Amino acid sequence: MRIVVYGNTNIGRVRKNNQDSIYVSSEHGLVVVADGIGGRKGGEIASSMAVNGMKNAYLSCESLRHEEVSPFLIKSIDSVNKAIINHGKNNADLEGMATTLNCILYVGEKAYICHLGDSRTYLYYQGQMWQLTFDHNIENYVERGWLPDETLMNNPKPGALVRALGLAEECDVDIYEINLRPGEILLTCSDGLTGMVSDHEIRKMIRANTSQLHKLPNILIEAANRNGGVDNITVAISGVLKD
Amino acid sequence: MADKLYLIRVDMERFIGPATLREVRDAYRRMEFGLQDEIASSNKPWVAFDDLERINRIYPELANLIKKEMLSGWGSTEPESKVGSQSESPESKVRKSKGLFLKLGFVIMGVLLAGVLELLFKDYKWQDISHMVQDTAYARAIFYFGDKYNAKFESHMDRNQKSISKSLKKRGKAAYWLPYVRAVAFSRDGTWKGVSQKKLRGKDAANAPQDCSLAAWKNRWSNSQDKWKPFLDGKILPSEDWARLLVWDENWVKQRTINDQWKWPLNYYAACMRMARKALRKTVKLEDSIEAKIFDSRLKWAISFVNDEEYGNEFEMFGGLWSLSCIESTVDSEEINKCLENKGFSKSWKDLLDRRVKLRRARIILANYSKLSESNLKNLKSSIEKIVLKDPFIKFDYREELKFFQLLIQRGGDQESLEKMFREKKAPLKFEY
Repeated sequence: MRIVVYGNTNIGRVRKNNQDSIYVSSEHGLVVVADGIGGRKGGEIASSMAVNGMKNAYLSCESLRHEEVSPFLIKSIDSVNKAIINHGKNNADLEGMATTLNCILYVGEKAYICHLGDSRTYLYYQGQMWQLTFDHNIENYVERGWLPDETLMNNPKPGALVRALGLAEECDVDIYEINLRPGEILLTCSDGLTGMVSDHEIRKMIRANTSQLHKLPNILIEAANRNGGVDNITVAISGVLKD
Repeated sequence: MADKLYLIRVDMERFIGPATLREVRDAYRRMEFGLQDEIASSNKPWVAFDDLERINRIYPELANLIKKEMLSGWGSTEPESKVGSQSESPESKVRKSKGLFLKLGFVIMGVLLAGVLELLFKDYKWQDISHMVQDTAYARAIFYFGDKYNAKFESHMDRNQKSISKSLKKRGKAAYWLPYVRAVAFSRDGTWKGVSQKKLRGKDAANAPQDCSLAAWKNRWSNSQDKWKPFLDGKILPSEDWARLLVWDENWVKQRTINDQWKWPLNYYAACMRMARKALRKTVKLEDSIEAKIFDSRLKWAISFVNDEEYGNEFEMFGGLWSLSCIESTVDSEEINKCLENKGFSKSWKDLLDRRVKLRRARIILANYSKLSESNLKNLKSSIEKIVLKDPFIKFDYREELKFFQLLIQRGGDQESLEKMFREKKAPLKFEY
């Protein structure tokens, strides 16, 4: 079994700068997607710090056993979170910068997905698709009963993030583990895609392009732009292939 | 169209699936998830199994499974069906024979209990059951492992790592924990904290390298790269572990997979092959080295062979390794010579291939006939005449095989009854040709 990864990022049709960042490597089995929080001045810097921080931590680590992955991710994310907060504190115009993070590490026949914010990872298999990550926004927290109902009434933006890198000193990250099998495709993306293209359409586009995975990121980005492209769009596609 | 598939999110930490409805049921029976976990089908929301209202609405096809399988067991809030009718009988009728009914009830319950225990533990020896009663962590390890290695089992082993390592130091407990410790060790990097490599290997694999950890194999691959090309070209056969492993006799390994000290992989040889392949892939980029790619193919083929798995029609190999795999895959004696077309082999390579051809010819005869004719027996006799007791290069011991071949000839070729006799004597062979 081997993994191939392709990815791209696009400014979209409305924004003046691209606050998304991405790193993908088939060789190292790594995908990192970050979306600097919109409206914040330093969103671009925060997302780039998150991606580079995760990439450097992973590349400087010789090898990882399965049981070492979670501690490694928690430690790396914690240090990236602190770096973003400190950088913001030291630069008045960047204070409060934050970013989402979706990162996949492929170790052996497993994928480890770490996640903060509302960038997403989906699993596609045999024409069917699942959202693996849980959006850390007010709406979802209220629905689950983790926040009181009044939060929604008091906050005009139900999609506002509850968890992200740079928001708080304590950084609580979701880490998921999934066994892989040939034929599976993982899609990691910023909300610039999912806000513009429905899950149903995404699934159809993946199904139509399973034999040309390298083209999929651009196909999905084009679809988001066709539908308005109101946000930056980042897409990473990981294909699980037979050896 | 593909079956409808479901994904299960366990503890908000890991996923099971995509799985069919039947596989979901089987996974539940193996206790891989519980009522508090969530399920989703394609592009549909995640719903917890115990949220029956949403399950009925979004996944009505699951409702039956949940009620029948999941809510009928522990933690159920559903009313249970009533068993027996004693409580409903009019008091006046039962008063006189109450004692008798009670006794009868105890007898029936005893019989039922014995039946349940028999069903639950039919695959275990009494000694196993006694260990399970004494050590609940061990009992859980057995139940979590079930039919095959899985994440729940692995995390159970991790949680109990310290106490297991302690148990491994005690003679009585070491033997029953070792198969499970080996499974975890060789699914990762071939080590278990506090257990020596020698202990992980065991006594019955003395001709395999003592250290088959990932780190040891990385060293072996890193330090031998200058010899890979001449080895593959059939020019040299270095007496080193990596070269020996690449030319191991997979059939010999496969024959020795009846071993209650190994749950998974099937034995130490299979574990070594697995670690060697994993380390190779971590040491060298396969796209950059044709030799590494060939080694990887050979190991993949060997592992599939030992595990009785499909490999595909063609080997991505050449040179001596291609010849060896070709010989072992051939099912017709006449075809074997086609596996030896390369003329440039060194003497040591030629001798190795020659030994393997003789073995294969004998195995083909056994594979094709359960009762051997006169001419088959004659061919078998001539094939085994030059089979060595112990292979001088890979060090595998063929005494068991030779004993079987010779007895078969003496008994006029009745393979079936001979296999039966060997099995009754608990010979360490699987008799699969």
